[in-house]
Amino acid sequence: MTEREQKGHLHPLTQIINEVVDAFRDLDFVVAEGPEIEDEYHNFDALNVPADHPARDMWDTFWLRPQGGAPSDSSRAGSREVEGLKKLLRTHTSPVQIRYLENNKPPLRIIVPGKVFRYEATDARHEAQFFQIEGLLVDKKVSVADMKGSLEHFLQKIFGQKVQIRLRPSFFPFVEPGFEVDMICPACLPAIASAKEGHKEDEEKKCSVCSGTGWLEIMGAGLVHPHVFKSVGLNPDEWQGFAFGLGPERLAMVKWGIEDIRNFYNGDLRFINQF
Amino acid sequence: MLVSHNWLQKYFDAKLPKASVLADKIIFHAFEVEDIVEKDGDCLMDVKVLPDRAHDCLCHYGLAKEISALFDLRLKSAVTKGNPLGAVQGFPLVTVRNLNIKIEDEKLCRRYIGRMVENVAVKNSADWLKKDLEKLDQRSIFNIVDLANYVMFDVGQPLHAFDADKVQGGITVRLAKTGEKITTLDNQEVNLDESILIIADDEGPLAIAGIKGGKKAEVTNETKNLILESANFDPVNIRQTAQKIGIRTDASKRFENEISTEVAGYAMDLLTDLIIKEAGTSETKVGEKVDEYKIKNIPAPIEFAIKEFSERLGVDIAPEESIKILESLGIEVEVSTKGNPLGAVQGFPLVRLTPPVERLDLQAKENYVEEVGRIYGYDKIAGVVSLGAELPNSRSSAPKLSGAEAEAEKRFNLANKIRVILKGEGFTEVYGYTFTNKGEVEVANPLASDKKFLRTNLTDWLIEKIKFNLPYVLFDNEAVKIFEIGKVFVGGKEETRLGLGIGYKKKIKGQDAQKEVEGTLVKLAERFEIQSLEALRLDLEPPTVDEVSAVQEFNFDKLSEEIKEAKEVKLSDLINKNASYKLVSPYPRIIRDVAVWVPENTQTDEVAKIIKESAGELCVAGPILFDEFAKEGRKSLAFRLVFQSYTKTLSDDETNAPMAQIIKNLEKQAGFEVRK
Repeated sequence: MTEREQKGHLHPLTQIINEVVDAFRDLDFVVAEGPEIEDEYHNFDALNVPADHPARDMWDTFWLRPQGGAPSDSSRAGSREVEGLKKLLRTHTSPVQIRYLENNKPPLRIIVPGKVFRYEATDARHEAQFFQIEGLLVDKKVSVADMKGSLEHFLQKIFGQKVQIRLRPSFFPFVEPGFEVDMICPACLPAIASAKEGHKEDEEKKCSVCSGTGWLEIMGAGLVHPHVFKSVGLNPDEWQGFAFGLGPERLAMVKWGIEDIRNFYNGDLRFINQF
Repeated sequence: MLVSHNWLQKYFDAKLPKASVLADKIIFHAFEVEDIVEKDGDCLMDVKVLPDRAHDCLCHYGLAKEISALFDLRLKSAVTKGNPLGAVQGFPLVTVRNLNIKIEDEKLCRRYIGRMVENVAVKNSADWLKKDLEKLDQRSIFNIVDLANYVMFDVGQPLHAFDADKVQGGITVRLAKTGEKITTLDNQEVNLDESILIIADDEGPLAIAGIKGGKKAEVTNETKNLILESANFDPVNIRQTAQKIGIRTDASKRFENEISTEVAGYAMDLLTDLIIKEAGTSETKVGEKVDEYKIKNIPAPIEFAIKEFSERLGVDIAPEESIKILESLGIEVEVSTKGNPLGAVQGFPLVRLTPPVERLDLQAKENYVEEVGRIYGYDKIAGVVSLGAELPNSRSSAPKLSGAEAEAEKRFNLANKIRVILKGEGFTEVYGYTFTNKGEVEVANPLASDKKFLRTNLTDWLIEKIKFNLPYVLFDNEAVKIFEIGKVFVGGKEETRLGLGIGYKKKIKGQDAQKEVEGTLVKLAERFEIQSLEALRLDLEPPTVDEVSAVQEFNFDKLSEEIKEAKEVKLSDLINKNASYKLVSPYPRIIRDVAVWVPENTQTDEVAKIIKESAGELCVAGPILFDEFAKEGRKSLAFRLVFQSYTKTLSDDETNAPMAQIIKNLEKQAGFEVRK
């Protein structure tokens, strides 16, 4: 306690990202990366999000002005420009699925941490920039059970062996079937173990992490959509796969009880030095 | 979408389970239910219909079909015959005036059904209708408008009614001409152009197709004769128009998600039936449906091996069970063991599946796998961990990655290695913002005027953050030392940079931020066995920020090229297992020092322990030893303490009490003398 605080600290996101990567390296995943400035094709079209389709509304996008040229027309999201594809800040790490599959032959397993951007006002739960970790596995025979097992392994490695997950139907254009993945609230695990029932209804002491539901929505996942395979010239009758995307900020907030996502990017050492 | 429990009940003879029971199953087998509210003896569920089911589930009929499958409850027999809610289909048709309908572009308007209804009574809606709509937060207008709205919430088909006496000649569905204008029902004037599909009469626009009706042929309480519209429009055109004119309605939302062209047919029957019941008079005459059905948009059947369900889901599902699930969703199943067109293994029959006409989402095998999986229950699928033994990066053999694959791994490991080295040198890692007020790459739709560009360097933000953090440093000889590894956008390229900086509060002899930065770089160079970092150093002004701080920035991409190999860094070197987080208090802190003479053989920790135990809860940091010297058999120890509250700004007085306690407890010790 008397030591002068001159120790360095690694950012909590670095720590979480490494924990996730480490868990997937156990399963023979390899790190991959991709550009933060993307084109419309890799960010949307190749991922089965066509122009002028309501699915595009799932991602509020920052469009970039063509460098040295006239401003791009962001209202006509569909049109490709004559000199090339429209540029944007990637709204997710999923375009790396396409880029990697364009250049590598399956079977393969990748884990892709990276910064992404969404056009939305910031508050305690939302940031215009944040990190995502994408995962992709492609092989001859891949099932929902394989996906579930891999995600269980990773969440149990970070949050403890007792953590269970559950899948709910969801929709992301580049997977089918698509899932929302919930995990048992780690903050509630001891309470659940000691008093199986009654935990939910206890209004007085509602868990602040899961608001008393006992479960946390933690990530999206699914089996790779045939459109994705076709986009990269693979035969969907020959190849199968699963993909997932998760937010390290969300994991960090759950793990350490951090209440405001903006803490990660304000450069305040009073925050970072706690990790 | 708001879904009424009472409304759903209309589809079933059997009594439905209560809303909370419905919701529990809907959540795990179909959609999220965000809220359940009781209202006027009804229960409303706020169902978050997934985008791929907006074709058919933005209505009560869609949800009723889901519930039928989930709870094994039969829909009323009229419903299963493709006639939701059992509308009367054989109206006594009489001769009414002629209705001409012309579609100019059948790609944009696949189907248009018009119907003349004469001598109706426009009046306030019946109570049941008002209530049903108000529960869904829809304002009641009068019976005709409300009924069209009601049918939309019932079966998902937007409908429209025109005052037939205000329509000149026939109805034409066409693209507008530049210069044409329309005043919408809510009195907005919209300038039309050649990309916008409209409904027009011989004189001009009556409505913006699929989005909003116009004033010209508005139904009012003087209206006697109606032209009813039930149509199907191209989703892309509707979406583009709605975005262009900035009008989004319940109708446009449904059209842009695409609706089966079949729905327009039964929706028209339903609307006609309701108008006869709710606005009919003894004089009411119903005309024939004038149905311009140009393009049939319904899902096609598909055939594949039934074992695919078990294989893709990773759980054994008996073929009979898959078939039962599919049929519960209204999917027609034909089983064939003959022939083997898709190369299915013998003994596994093929199924030919024909979806209900509304299910435009059911196109590929994968869509059906989802249907079987979600109704069967994802909870019944057990996770399997599979390793990639045959992969080049497999842990079970020596990794032999190559090319770009190896490069990304190397970069990831290298960044980690640098982090660990810098952490060891007392640096803390920060993550900065990409958006800034100047740069080369401009955002077309920035969030704010000072976030218009993508950063061209890390230095600017590092300087800002050194200055930001310095006031929180406890001692003048303590530095803020930070670094970031991140991307910048410069010279038409995306580049990864490493930036590091050191700053002090004051210029003190022996403290030189610039020299310390240099020293850190030398250490980095040594660790990576590179001759000099000089080549990688970016000539950014200023490397020395001012006399108390310095920042340097490097091209990480080049550094990575210089280095042949970077091995994985042990996770334990990167993570702090003991980290715990406490909110940073927004209130200012108060710093207090205490110095004490103690016998020379006294352990410093023991002194600190006494201070800590006496300091009370407001002491958030310290005691930190910052001075120590010995003299005449005694030693002097000086400690710094930080007091701070989470609830208020502390006054000096509030720290006096704990300080007095500390002094008192120190002086109880034999040979201790607090220096005052």
